[in-house]
Formats: sequence, C-alpha cells, structure tokens
Amino acid sequence: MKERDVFQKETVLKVENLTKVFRIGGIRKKKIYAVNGISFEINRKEILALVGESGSGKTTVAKIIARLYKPTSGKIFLESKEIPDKLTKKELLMYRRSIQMIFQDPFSSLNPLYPVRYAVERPIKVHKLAKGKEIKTIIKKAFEECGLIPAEKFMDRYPHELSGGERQRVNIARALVLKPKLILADEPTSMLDVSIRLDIMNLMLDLKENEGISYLFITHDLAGANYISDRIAIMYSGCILEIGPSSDVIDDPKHPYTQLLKKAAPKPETGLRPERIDTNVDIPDLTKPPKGCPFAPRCPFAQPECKISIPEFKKVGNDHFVRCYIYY
Amino acid sequence: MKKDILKVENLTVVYGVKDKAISAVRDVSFSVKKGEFFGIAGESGCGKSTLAFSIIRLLPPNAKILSGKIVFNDKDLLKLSERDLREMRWKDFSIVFQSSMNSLNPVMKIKDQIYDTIIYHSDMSFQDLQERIKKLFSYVNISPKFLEAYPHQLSGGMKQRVIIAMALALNPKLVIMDEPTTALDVVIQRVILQEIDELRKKLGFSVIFITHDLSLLVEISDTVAIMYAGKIVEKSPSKELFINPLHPYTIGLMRSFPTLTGKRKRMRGIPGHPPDLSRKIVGCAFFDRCPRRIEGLCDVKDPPLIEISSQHFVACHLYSKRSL
Repeated sequence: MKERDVFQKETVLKVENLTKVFRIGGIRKKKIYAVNGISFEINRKEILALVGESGSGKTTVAKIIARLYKPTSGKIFLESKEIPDKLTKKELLMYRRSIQMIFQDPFSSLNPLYPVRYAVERPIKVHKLAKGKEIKTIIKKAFEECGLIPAEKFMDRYPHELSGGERQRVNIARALVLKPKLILADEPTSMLDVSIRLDIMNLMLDLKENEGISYLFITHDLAGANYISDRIAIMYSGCILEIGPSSDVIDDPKHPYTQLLKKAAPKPETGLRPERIDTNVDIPDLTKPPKGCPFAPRCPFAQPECKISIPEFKKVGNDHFVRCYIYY
Repeated sequence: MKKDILKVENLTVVYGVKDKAISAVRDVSFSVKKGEFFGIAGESGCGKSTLAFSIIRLLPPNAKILSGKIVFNDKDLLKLSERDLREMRWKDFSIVFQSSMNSLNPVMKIKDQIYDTIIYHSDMSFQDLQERIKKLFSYVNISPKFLEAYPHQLSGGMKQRVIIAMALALNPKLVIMDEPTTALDVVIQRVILQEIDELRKKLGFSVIFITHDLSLLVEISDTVAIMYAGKIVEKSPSKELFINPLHPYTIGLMRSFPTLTGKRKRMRGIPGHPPDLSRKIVGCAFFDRCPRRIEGLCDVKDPPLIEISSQHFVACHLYSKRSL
C-alpha cells in the first residue's frame, strides 16, 4: 500500500478545459467569461491551492466542480470516470458524496434556527448512511475529529453560541461525515481571526493525513497556500498561469504575475522594509477578455506576441508549468 | 522630540446591550506624534474599532465613554459640542472605514461628493476647488476622468482610493484608518499602503492604522500597539516588537502567521477564545489562554502597562516581577 502511495499517484479529480460563461443583463446582453479553459488534476492525499485575486474565477471553478454551476464546456473526471453533463438525481447524490464543499462564511452557512447537530445530521439522512442511534454516534465522532470536544456539549448548541472558528469546524464536520474523497474549501479561513486560522488549517492537514482526503484549497493568501498545500495553481482572470509544487512556485516564481503576488504579500521575516511594487492596477474586464495573455496589460515584460495569443504550458521544472512567452 | 498630536488617557468605553454592560475599551492610554504611523492590531472584538470611533466621537448611541480624556491638539474632544466637532471632522482629523467603499452615495457623481466635503469646511472658489480635487486624485493615482463617474463604475480599490482622497481633502493632521484595505486584494492593498505612506511623508499628517494583520502592520508602521480584550497589552516601535515580542499574546499572534519564505513547518494558533467582555474581568484578560500564566498572580491582579526598555511597554506579570 505504501509503495503505491509513493510511486503511483492516484488521481482523484481531473478537470479538462473547463470554461464558464455567464450571461447577464436583459436588454443589453453581456457575457462574462469567468473561467477560460482550465485543466488540472488533484491526486489522493494532496492539497492543491488555487490562488488568485477576487474576480479571478476561483470560486466559480469550485462551484462547477461541486456541480452548483453547469460548465459551459469542459470535462470533469472523478477517479478517471467522466462525469456526464446530465446526471440523474441518484447519480448526483453519489457524486456529491465524493465531493463536498466548505464555504467561506461560517456565519451564514449554518441554519440559525437549528442546533448545529442538525447541519451534520442532514447529509447522513439525505445520503441514508445510518439510522436511529447510529446517527448520533457518527455525528459525535465527526465532532470529536474536528476538535469540538466534548461533542455532547457542542451538538445541541445553536450557531450563534459558537465562535467563528467553532462554526467552521462544524462545517468541516458536516463535509466529513460523508467520508468524501475531495473537499472543496472556498477560502475557509479568510473570515476567521488570525489566531484561529492556523488551527483550522492544521485540522484540515490532520484530516488529510488520517482520512486520506484531498482538497482544493481556494485562497488569496499566498503564505497560507504555502503553509497548507502540496501544489499551487496561480489563477488570473479565469486562466491558470502557473502550476507546480508549492515550494517551487513560492521560492522561484516563474510567471510575472506570481512574482508580483509574492512581492505584494507581507513578509516581515525578510526584513522590515517592504519591496516597492509598481503596477497599474487595472482589473481585467471579464466581459471583453483580451485575445492574448490576460496579464499582458499589467505585465512589465509584455511583448507584442503576448497581446495576440497566450502560450500553452511550458515545463520549467519538475512538475512545474508556466504559461508565459518568457520561457519559450 | 516631536509634538504629540493626539493623546488618549485612561479611556473606558462601555456598550449597553439589553441589561448587560460590555466593556469594549478598558483604561487605554496612548499618544500619537506628529507624522507618526501608529498601528493598532488585535483580534476581532478586542475593541480596536471602538477605540477609533471614540476618538472621532462617532460611537453608536448605546455606547458610553465612562472615563478618560482624548486630547487632540490641546483640545479635549470629549468636552466639545457636537457643532464644534462637526467643524473639526474632515478638517482636523478624518477617518477611513473598513467598508468605506460602500459609503459613497450611489446616485451622486464622485466629483460632487468630494465637493460637498470641501465646501462645508472652506470657502474655496470653484476654480481652486477643481484644482484641489485634481491634485487629490493625482495623489492617489486616479485619472481625473473618473471625477464624472458614479461609484458603481469604479472598482473596489478605486473607490477606496477616492475615500482616501476625500479623507485628505482638507489637509487633516490625523487620519484614522480602520482596516482600510482588508476587503481588497493583496496587490492593491500593497499599492494603496505605499501611497498612504508616501503621502504621509509628503504632507506630514499622522496615521492611526487599525488592522488584524500584524505581519502587514509591523512592515508599515512606526509604532505598534497590540490590543486584547479592550486593553493595550504591548506597545513598541514596530521593529523592536517584531524582533523581541514580550507579551505571550503578541508572541502567539506572531506565530500564527505562516511565513512565505523559509522552511515550512507545522505551527499553531492560540488556543481558546477571548473572554466575555460583559463579565467583570479579574486579573489578566489573557489568563485562560496564556501558556506562561502564573497561578495566584495573573488571575488576581491586573498587570499594569510598564516600560521594559526604551519605548517598549508591556502589561504582563512575567516582566513586572523582574523590574521590581
């Protein structure tokens, strides 16, 4: 078993050329190109961090994978089985049993009218995992695994009686009871206090080790991504611009956008005078995506060809790929 | 030695919620010098925003300042009438709120909103006004063509810049910024902070910068105060605080940030959560979560804020014993 872990990476989820176009407006119809041809895979027991600014389409990717949105085009494979566009109710239920989501806002993702036990009980009932007394045992175990100890004390509390960190733990417990293969975590720590963030990330790391769960960890915090993930994908304006092992992407960022992100992130450990950054901060207009590289208008190294087309991924290191003409 | 522009002494603020009194700020004293970048950091609910609101006297009606003094330029703000305060706001001190990008009026042009602010406080001619606004926009790097725009046509970062331009419109001596960049992306955050810092050096105003992001704060501010449960537990020049944090809470906070560079290692946050401020706190408020607490001392006696080394203050019995 161990050998297999080391030598053969088992792909849990693979997406190919995922795109999503939203149509908005009544009279003057507009199209918003939120996700433009994204491909990646997540292996078993692996955390892939999807890093990008707001509006870069990170959450849309997660929602497509969770099948809360239908992709405009592209394919999703779960354990190398393609998931068809149309699923019966039963198939969808089976799919969601493998893939669960944790949301950003722990304050609005629990029903305030019910004790938190209810949130964890629902998936068990919907998926008919257990009956009667067993349900309580499962809930208790999930609570304890998520650090809500003593479980009996927490189970009957209402969301407003819990702190933000505790609520996020309940959300993780809710995702956990189904024993999913993959958890989509959409900025699970960004609404929490700094002193609690690490504990939630540590909980997710422990669950990865003990339960073998993989994660898609969505964040805008490069340091947090570096802490938790095995691989990092940098997303900008609906495209992945760079993907690779976390340490390579952080220590030796290849794409100019990744370099900019790294410069902008606070890092007091490297001396207290921050580097100066100069950039025009025009956010890309997603209704008119440029033909070439979406980062070209802000890029200090932009060449004429960058405005015409965006290159394919180029291998720049072990498992490290970047989409930039600099490396061609 | 530069002059103190703002002096807060023994400030205590209480919120009345139902029949409970919640002490949000407890006996806080500090001063801000002219041109200083003063940072206040702490978790949510530690009273940092209440502190900012009490300085400009914009507390909600259920809040009450129980005791203390807020001296701004030799005037006690707590003794001034509402009318005098109105005169002073924007002109002498201004504030940028956390979600101030949402505080722009959606049905008014950007230009008109800035005009309003300036006209109320000064009798500039229309020509000068135009010049002034163009200058303000160049300060914060927005093209003047956006003066004619409505707020929804601007991105979040640009709206926040407009608000900062407004806050600087009348050359205030003090600008209070309550998490001005928390809702923004890292790159825009960094660019705006750079701009604020450059403007401060150029125009010479002081900044009180409130945030929960300590790693950001130690990079940009001159002095940092750490608040916990309504009190300042440590105050020091930011470099000193980063190299030599003393209070166990500060140390815990520092360790809660994963670093971007260097080796990856498992770290921990601070276990537990802040105390219930509606109850009377006896002894040190951090007692329950403190890894180095002294039973029989810390839970009985509240540690005073004392100076350990030059300009480095800490409120913790671990150090007060040593100095005795």
